[in-house]
Amino acid sequence: MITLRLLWIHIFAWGAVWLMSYWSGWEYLAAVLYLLVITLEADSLRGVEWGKRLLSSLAWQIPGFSMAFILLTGWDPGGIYNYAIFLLLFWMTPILPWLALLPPSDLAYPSYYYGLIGGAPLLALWIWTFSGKINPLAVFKHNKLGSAKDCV
Amino acid sequence: MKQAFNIWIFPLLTLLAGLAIFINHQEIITSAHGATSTYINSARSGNIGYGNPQQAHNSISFEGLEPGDIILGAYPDCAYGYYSHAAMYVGSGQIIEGYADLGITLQPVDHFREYPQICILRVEADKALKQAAVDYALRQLDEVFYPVAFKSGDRSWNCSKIMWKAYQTQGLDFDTTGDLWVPPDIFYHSPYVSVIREGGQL
Repeated sequence: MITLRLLWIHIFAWGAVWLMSYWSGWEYLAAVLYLLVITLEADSLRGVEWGKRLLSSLAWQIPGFSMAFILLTGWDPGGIYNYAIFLLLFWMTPILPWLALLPPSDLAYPSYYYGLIGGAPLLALWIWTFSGKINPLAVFKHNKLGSAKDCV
Repeated sequence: MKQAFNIWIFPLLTLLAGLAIFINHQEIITSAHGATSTYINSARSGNIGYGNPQQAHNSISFEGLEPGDIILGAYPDCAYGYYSHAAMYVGSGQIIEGYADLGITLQPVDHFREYPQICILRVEADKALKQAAVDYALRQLDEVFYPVAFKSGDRSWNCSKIMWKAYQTQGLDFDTTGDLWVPPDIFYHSPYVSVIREGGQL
């Protein structure tokens, strides 16, 4: 269920980030909101057993993993290889505003290309991290409570 | 409440942004020469991409090119117009162009031989303006390519937008359609250019 929710959020975030780029700079608002929403979704996975958490973290990014695999290996099922980079660009639209901020690269491809290839594992890691026991959100919440207590 | 927010915020944003853009640009759907209507008509015929790449070797000469010249290449069945790709000559046998994997990149002009049909356009402007356009484009090297990058904004580009913007910032606007996107064909139909060579593997 959480996989379907993340997939739904990702697909509509793709539309929102792209359309909001019509007003230059506003795509960042949608991109920040996207990270916030998937973080909240990850938080709802806390306490779920290890295997299910891992599966949920990975499964919603299967399209991203698939396109990156095709690009890296040159595999061409059904003549899709030529379109894989376009499909990956579209799929990674919700994080593209961040990739556009990467510094120039001295390697064979520009930095954003490597960001596209690594996007699926990074997003999976994001969900894994924010759904874990050592949850940065939980630490943040704890600190907030802590400081409030200190004030008292 | 939190779950409903997570699920519905992006469909709502997509709907609102889409409506706002549509209301501001209703005419592009029916416009005969715009990129949007061209694409919609092509999609109805089953063409949705940049055409069918072929192992061509056109025989057009690249001798005498000047910085700022525009080169267009055509693959058959391109969805957004006759020409599927555009680039700008920057000198020393190099062109600047946009590719999905390479972003805004410098490449040898010779690779345009792979197109069955090409066209070389000379922009009717003084050399200083054309050099300023080349310099603008060169400052965007390595930046993000996005196939459906809107004309507005300067963080993502496609092959036509980078050249349109390079000249537009110098006061020369090739786009008379008012569309959301700029396809390569706008350069061919512009009154600001003359065709210096055209054809290919016929």
